[in-house]
Amino acid sequence: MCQKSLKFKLKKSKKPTFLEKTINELNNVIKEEFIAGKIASRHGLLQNLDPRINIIATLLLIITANFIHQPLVLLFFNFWIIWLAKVSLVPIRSFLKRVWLIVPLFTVVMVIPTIFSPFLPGEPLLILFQLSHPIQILFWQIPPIISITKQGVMAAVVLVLRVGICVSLSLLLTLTTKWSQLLKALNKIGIPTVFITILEMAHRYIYLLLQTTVDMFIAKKSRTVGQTTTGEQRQFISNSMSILLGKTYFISNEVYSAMTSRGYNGKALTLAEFKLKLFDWLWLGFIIIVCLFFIGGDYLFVWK
Amino acid sequence: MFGNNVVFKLKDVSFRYPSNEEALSKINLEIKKGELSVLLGANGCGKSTLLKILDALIFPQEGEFYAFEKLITEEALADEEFFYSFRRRVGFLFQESDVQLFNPTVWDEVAYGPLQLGLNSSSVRERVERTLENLNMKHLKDRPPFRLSGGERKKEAIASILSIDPEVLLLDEPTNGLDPRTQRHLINLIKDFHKQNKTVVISTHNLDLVYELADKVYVFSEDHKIIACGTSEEILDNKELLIKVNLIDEHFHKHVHTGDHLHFHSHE
Amino acid sequence: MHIPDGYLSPQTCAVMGAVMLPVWWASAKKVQNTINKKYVPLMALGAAFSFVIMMYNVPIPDGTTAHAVGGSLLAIIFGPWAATLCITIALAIQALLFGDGGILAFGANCFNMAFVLPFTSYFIYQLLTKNSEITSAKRYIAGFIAGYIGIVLAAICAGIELGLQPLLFHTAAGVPLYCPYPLNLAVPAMAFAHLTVAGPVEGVVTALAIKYLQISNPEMLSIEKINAPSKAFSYVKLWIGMAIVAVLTPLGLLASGSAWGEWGVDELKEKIGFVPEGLEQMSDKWHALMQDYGIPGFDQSFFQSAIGYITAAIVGIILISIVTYLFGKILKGKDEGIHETK
Repeated sequence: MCQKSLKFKLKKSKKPTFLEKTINELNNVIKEEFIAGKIASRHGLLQNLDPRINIIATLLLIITANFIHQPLVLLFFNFWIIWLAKVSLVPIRSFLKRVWLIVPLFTVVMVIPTIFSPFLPGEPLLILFQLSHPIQILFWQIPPIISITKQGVMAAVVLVLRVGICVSLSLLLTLTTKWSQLLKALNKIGIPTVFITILEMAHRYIYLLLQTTVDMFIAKKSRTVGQTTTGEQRQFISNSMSILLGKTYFISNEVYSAMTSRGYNGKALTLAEFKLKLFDWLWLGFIIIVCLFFIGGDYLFVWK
Repeated sequence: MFGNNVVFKLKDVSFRYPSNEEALSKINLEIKKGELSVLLGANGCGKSTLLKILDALIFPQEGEFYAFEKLITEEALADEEFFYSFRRRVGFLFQESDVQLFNPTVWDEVAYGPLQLGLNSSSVRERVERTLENLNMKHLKDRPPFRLSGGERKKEAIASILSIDPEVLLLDEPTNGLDPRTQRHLINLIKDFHKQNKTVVISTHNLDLVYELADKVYVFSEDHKIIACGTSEEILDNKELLIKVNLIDEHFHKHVHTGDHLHFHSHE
Repeated sequence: MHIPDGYLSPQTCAVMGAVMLPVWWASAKKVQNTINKKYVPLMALGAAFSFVIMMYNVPIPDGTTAHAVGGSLLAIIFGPWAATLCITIALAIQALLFGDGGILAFGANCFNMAFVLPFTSYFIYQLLTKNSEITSAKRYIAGFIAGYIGIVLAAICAGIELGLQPLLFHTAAGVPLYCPYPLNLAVPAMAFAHLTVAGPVEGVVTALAIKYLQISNPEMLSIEKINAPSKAFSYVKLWIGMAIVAVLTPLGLLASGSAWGEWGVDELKEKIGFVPEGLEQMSDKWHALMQDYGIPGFDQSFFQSAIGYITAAIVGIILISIVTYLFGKILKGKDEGIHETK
């Protein structure tokens, strides 16, 4: 699902080269994390929570969202999440942009065919064409009446709203929890320490490898005069991947030496401590009530 | 066999890489407690490899290496008790800081050594606070390493070793790529460490370090052997030797400034 | 190919997660047993590498760019188990930190990109380069094929996961609750996109990388791998056999009547004149997931029924194989554990 290329297609300015695109994206990664770190340091509602509770609450909400099917309830859920963001001192405009302009927008584009009857049979809301007989293409049968169907529109709306909820919730979690705290909390919830250590180290070295890649790409860009063929470009990319792979292997051996030198003997150890406060329990209780409320609402507003 | 206070002893040690490339050839040396030794040589002469042998990160194919009067082999380090006691006593500063900064934050990094070496949580916390305080790094404690400058990363690397409180410090090309101020800071740190009667071994091709710090200098040739050993004056005066091992060129000379220090330069 | 949350029902997510648990466990054990203490930094760096590779914009002929996963390259160099771990970690970072790929859908995404992709690529590469020189052309051509097929197969799995949603989860009125595209649209769409774009990208990138390594760093192509079972070749024969059987299952449809012993309640009444009471009660209670080995709502024509049969067969084979294989691994691991020297 090439959301990233889609994002660039929307820009009207001169098309960036593949080098520039990658350099931009890599720099964005670094920038985004810096901003996320700042928001996680603010004293909003969610930041105040024990990270374990934040994780559990987010999971409960995401699971609940996936059991709800009424558009109105889903819509209300979305508004409630915006309130959550506001109360946690998250800048709303960039939050909405970040949530809705990527995955949900891509979902909208992807799901548009569904509203038409050839893709999903159903009760017509608006008849567009009428053919004399159905047409068969390979695995696919086009019905004689081509219309916009009730079922199609519903399916599309429900999917987009739900995807929006899930993306908002997970973004909210990462914006309101410091990454290092998030991983340590995952450890305390049950993920084995070894995986957490690998996760932490992988994250840390992503930046080193990103920097190496950006340096390679900038060096290449400064040496490139005129057009290169896509073949040459692919060659360059594969070469830089191989170089990166070699460097990756080399660094991992050095890191192992450094770890051993300071006493690493195969045991994964951590020192993190979290303390639950009354506020955490209250919040968890509140979230459970909210989930039940939404599920109840789903039953009440049944739309056939 | 061991004189007083011999910390490291190498007898005819040779080392080859898995690709069969030779790295060290028949090395003999003895490092005593409290000495500051400099391994001096051009790039590729094997001094980094030697430091890794001293830290028992790699093991020589020929010859014998003794640390704290015990023969060091892979089997010896498989014994857990000896492993931890050795690691507690020796600290290694890598040439590239990034490979030894593998924890999410500065605080975690400085805590790593004490934690791995078996201290309980409150002792670890206390060590970390103390080390960060001594190095003026408290304001950096929650930063990830990729948001630090080169000099700050070097400091973090040093802090991560000092929190173990080792008796021996091994430093691999410590001043490479550092700006003058950070370099000065580092040299002062090493001097402080040395004053506490700790043993230091530095590998470098930077002659300034030799002048400022060394008790003893071992000169490496480009074919991976030690060809000279002496005090810093003896070695630095021996221009012929230094040219032979590719540490200086013919235009090398000393400047003497009013005051206490010398500079060593090459000119075009 | 990262599936976001909301497209797959929680039930599907749970199933895929359950399927991945033994895979993760097995890969962690396998990697640890092979390279022991070194595996923490190696997996971490491998994951970082995988993550960075997924960010590369690879130019494709139409002027835009696409992304490779790099899973094939990882599997070929470090072995499939290591690739599974590394890609899982990379996907976890993408999902948690960058919202790329859902949190509930994590199991499914890992199944596709961290299991199907590396294992397929690895087996194909091994099969094609069994006795060739490290520097022969066979290697990078094999790399291309391995990468190509690996990612296409992974995409088809994703297509199946998505395509099953409207068939299994919809309202009484026929509104799909999750992904709205059924199998006959989702699978061909995913397959097509990856056959034409992502497949060649992954294949070409893998091939060129191997070619480059042959010249600049051939040692990388023969470093110690964390291998799948040594009898890989005979396993492949088994897979091919099962695939042929799966494709031939629709032939059963042509035989009229039901197999002996597998009669439904009506047929039984017809045959012997009455129906035992217990049978009548039980028959309604358990509606198999794929009723009558078909896909509900999808058995109009013979062709559609055939597709239904084949899909059911494939899904069944895959699930049974995985469970069997992993039981084998666990038992083998227990033996190795006893003999292991520290």
